Amino acid sequence: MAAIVNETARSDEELAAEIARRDASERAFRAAREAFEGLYRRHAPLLLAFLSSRVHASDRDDLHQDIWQRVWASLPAQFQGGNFRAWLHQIARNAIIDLGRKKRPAPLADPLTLVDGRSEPARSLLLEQERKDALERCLKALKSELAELVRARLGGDSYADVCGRLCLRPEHRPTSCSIWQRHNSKPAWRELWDEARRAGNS
Amino acid sequence: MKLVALEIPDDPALLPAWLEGHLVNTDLAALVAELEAVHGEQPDHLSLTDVLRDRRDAVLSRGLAALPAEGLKSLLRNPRLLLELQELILTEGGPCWLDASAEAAGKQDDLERV
Repeated sequence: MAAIVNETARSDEELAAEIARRDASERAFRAAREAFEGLYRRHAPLLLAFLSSRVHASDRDDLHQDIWQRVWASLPAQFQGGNFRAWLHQIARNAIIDLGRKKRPAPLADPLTLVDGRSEPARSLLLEQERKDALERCLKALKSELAELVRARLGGDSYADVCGRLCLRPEHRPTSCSIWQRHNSKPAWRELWDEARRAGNS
Repeated sequence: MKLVALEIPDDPALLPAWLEGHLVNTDLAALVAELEAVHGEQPDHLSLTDVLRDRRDAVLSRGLAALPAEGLKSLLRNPRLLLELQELILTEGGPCWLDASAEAAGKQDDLERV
């Protein structure tokens, strides 16, 4: 992955310092707005990806906006220098927790340990539970050989490795994601998938 | 419902970029859920530290190409580690990750405009 970021760009901490000085004058305020936009452009995409994995899609954009409002409002008094991204991450974590409290979700059974060592319920996985359940049902309905093929393929094994291990003939090697098509089971897969989706929607 | 995991590339050499794309995009939770349906929940009981080992800094600065194939397989087989890795990237990922996320967001904006 090649980096294309302008190496001469000001650091996060320099931009944050500019924002913290914003009340001094009209000129300082304008400079602060520009610095804030710079931080936003640099970090908003990754933050949005992070939020997408942890809150429902319908809450994501509002939460994202709320976090940046918190950054603008609290940076002068609360950011004491140091790692801006760690501080942004902390604000995001707090905002997610606040959102969870507001929504009073049902008790969650499956804790997920995060990078900082604290536990957070695996909300994102619960949000995708329907997807997970449907796929599990489909896998159970596949022939064992095909299910094993899917597991190996989605475990990062190459097709050559998988087919060799399962003694599949090379000409039967599937390409791309069409595992089921080459094994004459794609229609079956589709049928199972439709059934799973119907079950998920009922 | 589109299955994200089934788009996994044939060529193992393309796997790092494919995973990176999901780490900086808005569909990682879907991918994790699908991989969990296939492999179960943390079948190997590995931590992110176990997987990254001495490549942690390299992954943060250069991306997943710095991780051996076995490390990539461990991430796929223990997909919750992808969520942890995404969080680590948010706080410590280098310019390559920021660039990748900006590119992904740009593509998403283009799609939404169509």
